Amino acid sequence: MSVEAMPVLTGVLKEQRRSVMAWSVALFAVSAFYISFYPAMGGTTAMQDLIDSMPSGMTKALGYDRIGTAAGYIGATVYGLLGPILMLVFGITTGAQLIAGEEEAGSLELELAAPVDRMRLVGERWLAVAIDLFVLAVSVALASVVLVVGLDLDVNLVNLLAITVGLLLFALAFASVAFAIGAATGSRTAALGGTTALAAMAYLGHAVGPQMEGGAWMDKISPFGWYLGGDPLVNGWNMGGLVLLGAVVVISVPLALLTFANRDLGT
Amino acid sequence: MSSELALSAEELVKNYGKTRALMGVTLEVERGEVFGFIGPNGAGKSTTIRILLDLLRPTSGRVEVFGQTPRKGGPALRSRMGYLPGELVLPGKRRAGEYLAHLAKLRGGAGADRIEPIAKRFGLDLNKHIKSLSKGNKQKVGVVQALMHRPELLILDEPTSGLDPLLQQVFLDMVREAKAEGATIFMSSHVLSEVEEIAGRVGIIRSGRMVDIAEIGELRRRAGQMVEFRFATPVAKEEFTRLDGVSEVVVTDHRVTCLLQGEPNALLKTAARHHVLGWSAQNRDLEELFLDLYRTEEVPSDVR
Repeated sequence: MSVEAMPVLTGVLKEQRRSVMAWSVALFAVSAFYISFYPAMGGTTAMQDLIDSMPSGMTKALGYDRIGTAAGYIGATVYGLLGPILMLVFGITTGAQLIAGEEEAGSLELELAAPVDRMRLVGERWLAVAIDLFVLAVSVALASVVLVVGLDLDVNLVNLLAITVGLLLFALAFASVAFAIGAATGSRTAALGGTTALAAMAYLGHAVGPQMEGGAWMDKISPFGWYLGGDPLVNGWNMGGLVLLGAVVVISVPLALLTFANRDLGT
Repeated sequence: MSSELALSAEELVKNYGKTRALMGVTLEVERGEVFGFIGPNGAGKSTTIRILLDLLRPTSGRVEVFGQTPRKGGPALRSRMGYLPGELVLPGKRRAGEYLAHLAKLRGGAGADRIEPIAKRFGLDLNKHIKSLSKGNKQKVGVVQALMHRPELLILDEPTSGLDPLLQQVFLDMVREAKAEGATIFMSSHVLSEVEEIAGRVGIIRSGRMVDIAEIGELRRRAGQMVEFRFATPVAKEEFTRLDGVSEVVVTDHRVTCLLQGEPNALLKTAARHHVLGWSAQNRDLEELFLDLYRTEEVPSDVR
């Protein structure tokens, strides 16, 4: 039996491999499906007319005011709504599951009783969430690249990389918050509920805030805003936003490590 | 500290919020000993055990395993321990063998070579997915992982629950082998009979307190024997009631039954003055002794 460098991590990845594979295929398919409709929809004047006829508040909230270009369309659909929502669902549930969920169920007990340092266990389990999300973000990006190249769409591939990095950090930020709440409390419900509420507020702040009188600040403090602000698929890297998303991760992970190391487990 | 002790606890207290799960548990287990940790459900057995594994931190009191606190001892200390949880839950998506191999990897590979032989003895199919296993088969997975790395201290929380009588014997054989190799065994149960066969000493916990610690032999003496004589002629009750160590004397016609605790010498000599047609002596079930201890006090309901 070989001695592995990160046995906790490899154990989690093996346990998850089927579900991550399924999510990855689904994200690839949904992304490809959406983009393949662009030539038939977004690129036509009929589509633009339809959008012009909709209330401007609604189109802005959905990001559909920019839907007339390929970059605007992909940015509003795959990267603006479906990608982040699906990645959030996966990231928050997995983040809540890998400590709190398994601890509550009792299936973490033997690993906790094994000769593994608690911080190491938490660190490797967080790394599993990060790797999962990386795989999912790559699936979205891969589907986008394949269709952009295949359909010869006018999208800058460097900008596609920029928004993919944003998508990954955005999902990882929320997943890390769910993970940290779970590690600190041992309650899957608290982790899921708390993080989902934060994500919902973040979405509202981004979608509705800018349209309210003096509500622009809501978008500025929303992780959705940090991720999509400045329209990275059109305009490229939004470093400020990436740094803020990264900061959420950088704060959450040590909190998870410290709180978990110092509390009673599985009570 | 004495290096002879495998584990020791002194005035160990554990509170969950306002609930007092342990109210001062004091006990010592020597190396190489098989110690039975007996108490009703909710008495604090699992709480004590989970403190030994550093899953819980005591509110106050002192606890040491091989001379180190579980917290300071950390992973190095846990590598010398094997643990079977009272409520075993296994992650379901992998095969039994894969999961056991994973647990061995967490121990730096220790025990990997023993997975197959132990599984074979229990008749556990390592190729089955864990979620498809019956409760008894899951318990086998738990037993394999507790034993596989030849731990110096084996901590078993209600180990035989879910195993049928035949497998209980296989299990007890394996525990005896571990003991023969020098391991210390700390084994909990809510019924004495489960540990009676194998434990040298027994500690009884109730409502978070140790109420008794004694050798099995001593407990047997205390439990005593039910003795019955059949005489050719009627006998007087007083002859027997005044004997030392004899109680619960019942005389019906030519027949005398009584409870004997201690040496039978006086009782036999008294009986021998009469014409004895027949006699029997049965060890009283130890369980009865404990039922007496258990009944007396209410137990907090939300204690593990």
